[in-house]
Amino acid sequence: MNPFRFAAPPVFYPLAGRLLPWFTAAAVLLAVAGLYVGFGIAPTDFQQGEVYRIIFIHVPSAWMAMFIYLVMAGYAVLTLVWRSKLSAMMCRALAPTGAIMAVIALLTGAIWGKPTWGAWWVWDARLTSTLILLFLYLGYMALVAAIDDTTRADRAGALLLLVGVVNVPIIYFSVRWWNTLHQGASVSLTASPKMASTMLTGMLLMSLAAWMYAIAAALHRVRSIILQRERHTRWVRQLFA
Amino acid sequence: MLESHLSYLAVAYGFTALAIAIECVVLLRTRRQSIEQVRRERDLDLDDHYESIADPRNEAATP
Amino acid sequence: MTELGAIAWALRRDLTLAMRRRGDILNVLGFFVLACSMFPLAIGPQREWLQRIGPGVIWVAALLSVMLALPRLFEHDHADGTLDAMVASGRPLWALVAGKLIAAWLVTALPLLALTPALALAFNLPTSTLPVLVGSLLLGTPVLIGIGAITGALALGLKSGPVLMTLLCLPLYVPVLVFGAGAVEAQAAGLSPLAHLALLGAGMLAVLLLAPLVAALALRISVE
Repeated sequence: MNPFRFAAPPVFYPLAGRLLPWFTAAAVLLAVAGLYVGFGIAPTDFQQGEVYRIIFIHVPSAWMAMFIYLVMAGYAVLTLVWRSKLSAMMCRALAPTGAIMAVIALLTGAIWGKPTWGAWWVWDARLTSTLILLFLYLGYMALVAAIDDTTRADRAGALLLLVGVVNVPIIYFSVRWWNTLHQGASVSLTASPKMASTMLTGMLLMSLAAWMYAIAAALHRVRSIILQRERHTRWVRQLFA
Repeated sequence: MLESHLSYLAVAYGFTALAIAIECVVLLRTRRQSIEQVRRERDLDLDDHYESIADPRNEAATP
Repeated sequence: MTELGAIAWALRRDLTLAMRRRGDILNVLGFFVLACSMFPLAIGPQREWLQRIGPGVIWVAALLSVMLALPRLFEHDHADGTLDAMVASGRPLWALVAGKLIAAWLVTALPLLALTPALALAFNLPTSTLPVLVGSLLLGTPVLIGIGAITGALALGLKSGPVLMTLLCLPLYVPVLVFGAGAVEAQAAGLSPLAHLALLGAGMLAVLLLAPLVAALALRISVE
């Protein structure tokens, strides 16, 4: 069986359609389980009370924002090296979800920061890096939207993603350095070191839920992209008789 | 420091639910618009013997 | 044409063109000075404050001045077709780009460096920080130009080109700013700026090697 067969849009479109319900269901089930553990089982935090439970959204969304960007960079390599059209479409399909994850991470981070540290925004390393990551997402989306020629847009976006992904560790390192220099003991919004194992379980379940959700959203979006790009072909036109 | 700050929790979770809901609505709307576009262009075109630029394995135009 | 010949050719050409438009250099310098001046006007002229924010302000102003001059790098050549000719010619594109980047640095960054000591005085910076300020800009401005070349090449010819380019550039500029301004602040605080400067230097080397290649690839994507 040739795995590259699935890289053809006419084959991938129905496959994505069949996989979609499974990932959606997985996302819902994991989210329910995660919230149950997060609210029903995990104990009240000694220092922060109940408000710490924001981490069950904040941490998964921050991780996913980062992870999705890496996946996009992987597809970018496929786009540039193997000129795979489907890979370029997957980049475009993942970008909005990644950006939304970054926004959620930033907003929940701010909402967590206010009662915990007294300020809506403390310029900590993690949040500042996530803010820059959001701009990397927006830059990618703006670039591909501004270019009319599809092939040029795909390849330009892919190159931008590769330049970005190389810079992300450098950006994170520089922001962390800057942060520790200017604040002494780092004021970090990451959870306190004494995390109950149930809290970790809740975070893990919600992270998996976010992952399944991201895959489902990307599969749905890429199907629409395929329809738009291939709307002149026979196989697409016969789909909606 | 043991106040519940439940309002903060509610806003955070509420915003997240809203963001996901909006994304889902936009996803469904985009799909609907794409399908409409396919139908519209198909009905306008009398000759539908186009090939996909991406994949040579589509059915060839019938003679 | 050899690689070195291509670099020299592009360098000479861009310098000649820049000499015919000397106003551009004044624009860059004018923006640099004005941008720096905004801050005392905005927050007041107290010496301690200015001393505290001086390194950061000068660095940000230099960064923005360089960035604003960058769309010119490829847009003129793109508009009159020279860029297409360069890409289609058999000459090594990365070498032509490298020549252009060197010219851009000489025309944009060098004047800024010349003006920096005067601005440092305006912000009451201690004289011990001056070498570090100039040194950090010396190491950092090539990186800014290299990154700007790549993003400028990607956004070539688009209607929203320059604005889009700045959106793409600025996140990538963050490490350069952090290490550059940080070096000066370290010096001002009595610590060693060597770590910052070493990182900047490493970045500069990486950019010198990679930026012409990546920018050439971006140009091919945009033009072909």
